[in-house]
Amino acid sequence: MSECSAVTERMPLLLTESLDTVRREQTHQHIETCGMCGAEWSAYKETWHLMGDLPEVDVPARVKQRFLTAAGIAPVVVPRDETPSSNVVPFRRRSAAKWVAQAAAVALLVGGAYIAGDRSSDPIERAPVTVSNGSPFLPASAKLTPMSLAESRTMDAEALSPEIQGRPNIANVQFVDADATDQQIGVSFDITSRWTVTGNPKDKSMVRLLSYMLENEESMTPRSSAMEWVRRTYSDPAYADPEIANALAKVLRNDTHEGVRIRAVETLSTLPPAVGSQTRDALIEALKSDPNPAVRLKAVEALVEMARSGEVLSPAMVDTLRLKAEQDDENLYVRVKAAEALSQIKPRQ
Amino acid sequence: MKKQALIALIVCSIAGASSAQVLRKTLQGDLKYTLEPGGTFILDNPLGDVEIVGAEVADIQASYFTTVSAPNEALFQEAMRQSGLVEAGDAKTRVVRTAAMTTNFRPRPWTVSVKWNVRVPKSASVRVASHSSNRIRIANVMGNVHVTNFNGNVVLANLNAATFAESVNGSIFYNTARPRGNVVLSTVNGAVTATIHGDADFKWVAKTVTGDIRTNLPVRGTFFGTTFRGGVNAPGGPTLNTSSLMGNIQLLSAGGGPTPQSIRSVPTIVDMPTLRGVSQTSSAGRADFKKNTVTTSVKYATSLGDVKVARIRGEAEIFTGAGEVQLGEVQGACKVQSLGGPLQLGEIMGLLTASTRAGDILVDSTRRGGSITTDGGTISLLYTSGPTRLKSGGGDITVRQAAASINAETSSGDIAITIDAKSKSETVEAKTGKGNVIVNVPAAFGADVDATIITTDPTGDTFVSDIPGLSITREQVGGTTRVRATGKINGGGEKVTLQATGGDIRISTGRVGPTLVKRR
Repeated sequence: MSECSAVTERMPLLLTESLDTVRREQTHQHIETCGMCGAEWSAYKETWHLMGDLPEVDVPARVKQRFLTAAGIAPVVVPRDETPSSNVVPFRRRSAAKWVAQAAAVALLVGGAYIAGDRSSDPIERAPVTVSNGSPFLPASAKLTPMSLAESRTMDAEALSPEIQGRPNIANVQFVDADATDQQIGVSFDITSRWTVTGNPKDKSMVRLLSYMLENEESMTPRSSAMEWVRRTYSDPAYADPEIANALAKVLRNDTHEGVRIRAVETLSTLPPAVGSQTRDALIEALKSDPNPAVRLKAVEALVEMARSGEVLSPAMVDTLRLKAEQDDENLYVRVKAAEALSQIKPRQ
Repeated sequence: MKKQALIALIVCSIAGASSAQVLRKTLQGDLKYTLEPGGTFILDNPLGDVEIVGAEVADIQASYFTTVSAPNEALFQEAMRQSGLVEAGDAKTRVVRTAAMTTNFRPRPWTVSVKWNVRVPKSASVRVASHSSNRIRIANVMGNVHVTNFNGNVVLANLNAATFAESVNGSIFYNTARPRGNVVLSTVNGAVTATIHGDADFKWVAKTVTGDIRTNLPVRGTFFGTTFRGGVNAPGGPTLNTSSLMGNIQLLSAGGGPTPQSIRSVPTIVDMPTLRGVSQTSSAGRADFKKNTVTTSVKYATSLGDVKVARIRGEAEIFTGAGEVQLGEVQGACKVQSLGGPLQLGEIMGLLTASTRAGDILVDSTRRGGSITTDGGTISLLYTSGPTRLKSGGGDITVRQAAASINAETSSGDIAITIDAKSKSETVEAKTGKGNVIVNVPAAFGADVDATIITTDPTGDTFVSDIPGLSITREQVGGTTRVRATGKINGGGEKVTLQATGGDIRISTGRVGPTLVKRR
């Protein structure tokens, strides 16, 4: 085991060909016979090659200053709102160095997109949310100008860091040179990067994002699971939001996926009355004409609950319930539930 | 103590003052309208009792009593302003409508109800539309009668022409010695009672789901589902059509004849189709079956009712026309059939056959497998160690842990199947008409895979396998693309056939989180 540690320590020297002949030979022999060290060595080499692919860029003055300060070479400069960290973060061995490089690339892209959004997009009056790639690249306390998710975005090259980290998936590249004389060119492309948005379920940005995703059939797979997650989160009265309810109502009306419609009506029926009241029409429509009996069944059960809780049902609702109760070819369970809802309607005296 | 008494006194004073402020006033008026012989009188009175009686008079003579209730003078005046009578029509058809009444649909802080006492020419036809009342009574009218109501009873007496009465929460009472026209009496939550002379000839249709059908007249006929069709006395005559979804229907004899003591349930008079071998059958009316533990086998059938048994130490055979079925543990074979309603089944030791025409099905475990079917709803099976077939007419299918072969099919919904971690190979067939198929297998799972995606969006709907070894082909068929992945994984094994239309197929080896199951 101690030999493994020694070999691991020697790996950087082996990479840079700084070992003497004897120790180099011993190290190679150990790596060939020890599986763990072999894997470690492969990871080192892969990282080394990845680093070799990265372009060399000048170190920004601020970073350089911080590094020299930390190394004790330059005098300490303390900004007003910052205190120098005395913590020493040890370099950890990472067997999957490729992931680190990819994460860094995503961080670069997200950061670039943030700057671009800051410059090019219209200001949006929404609650800010934290955008990160899994490991926070910005401190939570950092002040963000809200940026919007957009279908397309235009940005200046100056706003984009010259470093491209990892190998982000770029496709459908087009070159644009609108004016040959202005010494400006454009390159347009699609890029796939993974975003993680964190925030309180009540944040308007979060609500809007989830509503958009709910209404977009292809955005969530499997959708039923996603709906279940929404149900668990937003049936809590503390997080209930009309926008989510409206999105669910749209799903109930329009989604061709029956499993999803079943989840949507289930979710709608668990929303607090104050939020769900705007979506009653969707329930009525579902009860009236959804081809899936389970959707109709859950819709009528939701209406029974409404009536039982003393909510005033609209004439359209009452008519639909009445028609359902009397409809001979409707499922008996649905008819009985409709009758149950009707029996809750009493005249005001 | 004094302070508390003072507070109580103040509260009582305020309450008393506020209750004293409720204004309630009744105004009376009389109206008179000409109506030609055979003419029609139409009264639309949303709230309040109505009494219309046919008499030897030439005109319509109506008295009305308007009662206005409001919490204060301002609202009382508002109620008075917004209420009134609307008169329309001519001598052939006379229409009176009381306007701006309060109903439960649009509550206002005040109520206005109008009670009508009307005398119409005997030859007149009458139509009454109401929402809520204690009673609507129409009697001695020779023309057609048409009544619709929501809450409150409808009483019809001595009507000789075609009669139609419909309510939702009220009961309907019909009393005519010999009907001369067809009669339709229909309610949802109330009861229907028709009293007709014992020697009258007529056809009788009675329809109820949760109620009983009873009579003391000599009926003959048969049941078609929950509907009885038969006749009384000589064949022919008008049809008396009585229906109540949730209440009882009674046909009684008037003018002597059979005594009230001779009233019997129609299913006991005529032949009823019964379930052979069922130890307990409820043919009419709602009948729930709720037990904690049953030490023998259970056979139970009902046209409507919930079945809830925590433990059955034998076999179970359950049928319900509509209702929920919840069984905890069944030590033998289990057969559950519902024509509508969700099923929730626990540990089933024997072969399982569960089906419902509408509703979700949740099964904790089935040791010997079986068949689970819903015409619409989701199916969740947490564990199976026997070959199991799952079919949904529309809804997701989830099998949390399968230690035997699985055949799952849904017309629309996702299918997610997790193979038991100890299984080396299992036969799996999963097919969805719209949605995704996700099969989670152990890393060493061997299979001969044949997976097909039919899609119009080949870039969006994709095939992903965590285990290599499959070759993927694409074929354009008309406007759709057929993506097919075939081959052996981990050296091959049982056949895994997957098909998704408009969705993804994934064969994954990742760990699966705990299942969150929504129980009723």
